[in-house]
Amino acid sequence: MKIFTNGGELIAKGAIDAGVRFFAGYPITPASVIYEPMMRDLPKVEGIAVGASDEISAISYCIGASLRGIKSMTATSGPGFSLMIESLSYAIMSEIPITIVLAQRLGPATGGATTSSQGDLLFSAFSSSGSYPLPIISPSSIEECYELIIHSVNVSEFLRTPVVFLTEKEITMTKKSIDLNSLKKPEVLERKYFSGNGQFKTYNFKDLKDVPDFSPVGGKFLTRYTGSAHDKKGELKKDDPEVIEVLYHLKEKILKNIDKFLFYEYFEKKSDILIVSYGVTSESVREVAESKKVSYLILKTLYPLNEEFLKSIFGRYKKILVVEENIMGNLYILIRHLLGTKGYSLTKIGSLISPGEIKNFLESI
Amino acid sequence: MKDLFEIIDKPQNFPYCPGCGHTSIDMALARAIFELNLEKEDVLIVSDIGCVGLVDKLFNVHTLHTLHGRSTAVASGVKMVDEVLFDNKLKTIVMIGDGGATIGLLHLVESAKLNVDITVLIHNNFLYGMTGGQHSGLTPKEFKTSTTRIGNPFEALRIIDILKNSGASFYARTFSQDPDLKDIIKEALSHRGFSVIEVLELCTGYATRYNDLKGSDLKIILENSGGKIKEKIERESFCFLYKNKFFDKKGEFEFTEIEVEKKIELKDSLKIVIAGSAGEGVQLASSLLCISAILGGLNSTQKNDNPVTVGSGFSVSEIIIKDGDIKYTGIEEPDYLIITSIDGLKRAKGFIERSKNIIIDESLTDNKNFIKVPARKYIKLRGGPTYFSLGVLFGKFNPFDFELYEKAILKYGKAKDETLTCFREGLNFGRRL
Ligand code: SF4
Repeated sequence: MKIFTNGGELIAKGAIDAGVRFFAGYPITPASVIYEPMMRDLPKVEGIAVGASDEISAISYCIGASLRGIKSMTATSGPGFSLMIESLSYAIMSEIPITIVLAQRLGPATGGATTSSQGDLLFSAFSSSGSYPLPIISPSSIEECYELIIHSVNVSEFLRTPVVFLTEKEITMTKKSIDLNSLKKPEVLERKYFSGNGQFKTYNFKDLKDVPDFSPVGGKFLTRYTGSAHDKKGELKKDDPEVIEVLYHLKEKILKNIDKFLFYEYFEKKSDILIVSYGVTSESVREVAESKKVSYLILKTLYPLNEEFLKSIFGRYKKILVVEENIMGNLYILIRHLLGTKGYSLTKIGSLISPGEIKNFLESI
Repeated sequence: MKDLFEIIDKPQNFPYCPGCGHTSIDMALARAIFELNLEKEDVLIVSDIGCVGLVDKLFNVHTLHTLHGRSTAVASGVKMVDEVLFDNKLKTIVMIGDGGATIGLLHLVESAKLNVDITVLIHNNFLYGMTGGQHSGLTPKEFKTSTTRIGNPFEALRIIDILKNSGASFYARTFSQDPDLKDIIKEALSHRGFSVIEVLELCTGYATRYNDLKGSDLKIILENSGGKIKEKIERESFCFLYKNKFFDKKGEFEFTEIEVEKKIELKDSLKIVIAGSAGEGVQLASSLLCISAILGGLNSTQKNDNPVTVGSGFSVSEIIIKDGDIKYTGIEEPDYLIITSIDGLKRAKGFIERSKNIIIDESLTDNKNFIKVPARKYIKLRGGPTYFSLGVLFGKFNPFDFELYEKAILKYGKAKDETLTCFREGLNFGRRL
């Protein structure tokens, strides 16, 4: 069976298949194409989809729903994400799993609602106050939305963290013929619940990298959730070494476990040049590699990055070109210390970067 | 439940300034929970920011300390799930100050509107206590604070009126020393739906510093500002309706599914750009083109572009049809460019030079190299100019089996008969060219 669909619908379908049963949304182009199918289809599996009065309400509802024990998701674009980031920090601090789809459009501010862009990688990666690591996962094609949103929900549940699913207008809104059977469905992971052995503490861990066992508000173990600096019990504290330990744990929990969720596509040809890309631009890169002698690395886990892994690949090439649709070279900035003099950045805004433009740039370096 | 102190820590351990109204409210809440015989596990206190947020550690129930103003929204998320997907047993109480109530006013309004089953206690001490006694949206006129030294020039927001008018199904207004406070809270907790109590209280840290006030003056302030209120209205909640209406329809995810009819041959990929006006059905006609290719066992992509408005300005679809995998979905050099309106012409300027064949409405150009067609004659039918032009394309160039487009119309189109006629007229026009 073939379907004619867009990335937005595949994200919605994937989220439902990942077990998301709560969605709160506020319309915004190009993320409304996720909101609408969620409102249409989530009730059919006895899930709740609710329209919120703004993006702050949307993410707050999701936080509440997740705390009650239900996988939760929202979807927005740059302007809405800007409103959400206070609550995003909150979800990092209080270790609440939620998935936020950020369908990028041209920025800054309201920018261009219907113009594709890849300008929000750095913005989302460093959006929490105190700059704590936030996993960012990005599909590199329309069909991949299905598989990677499931991974995103998995990461969020497994690591008890908000996750940003970073995509673009030309992924969420462009329609494509897709073979339903070709969609890859990863195993669905669940957050780990406290089993009742030992004393329950809302933020308990032995090793800094451990993910605390979850128990819902309203469950049989009394919980103390908070977004303020707290000890393992969840009590607000200040001058206490355990509070600092909890904060280091927020970093270690992500950095030490993210490699279980390292998604990428590495295409190796005998060549001196490596092209690095992500998101919608990856499709152009794949097309370039069909006719040019280049290798490519498409990153799907965009943050945090595994630098050792990147170095091991970068070492094999003489020239490394980072291609992305934004004005500053977001990914380039993230990895340029690994590239040295080998690095080149190709950026553009306003429309997709075509295979032809990449080929022309390759001629010039 | 044997002992009140299973719910609340002893009053001498309270973190507030001596005489702070928060202590009275906490005690009244604890007694209400105690007298209602609620299990600790069935109670959730959601606290906001400010001195009011210190409440968590006093209560031996579930607690959730949130961001400034967001307590109501987070509590509502918890409660929507609890009511719709669980047993609706969790009593959820929001403890919010005047800062939280104004910063999160829209959350209060929305939760009142949806009649979410939560109880909100607005601790109104007329100012921001924790940050140094600055005035708030709920500071009464003439009231002195650290930022209104000569008296607040504005009337306070009448928050209970706002929430009453937003649909709160239980609303009350009283003061912290009211002997009825515990009973009002009990009633609110027992009420199914959104309940809110505004409790006037004194910040002994700041209110009494700037104003000549005693605790007993609260009653006078209350009476001068609308008096004691308590109303209850029976009203259905969003959650009730959701559970009872939305869960009826079980079913699969609604994809546009297409059964491949036959396998057609296509040597090179087809790149077609259709440029017209928004609101004139360009995108549906384009989708049907993609679908017709899928019916023929081919792949297709449709990248759309339009301004923010859907009913004015241009509307452009870039369509790629290929026997094989399509990666990059943009088009640089169209095989066919269809232009159906002046908006489309303006937007398609960049494509004209690079297009192999151009089919354009006759009113838009004198260029002899273009294929001029009477497309806009069919403007009465939504999508008419595009269906006609696509007919011309199939009639003249026969890129693949035109019957597949007709099948796409019949299966997935709108106003099928008119659309089909329009397409066929285009087809005949194209064949004669
Ligand atoms: S500053 Fe005011 S509100 Fe805060 S604890 Fe003291 S009296 Fe209460």
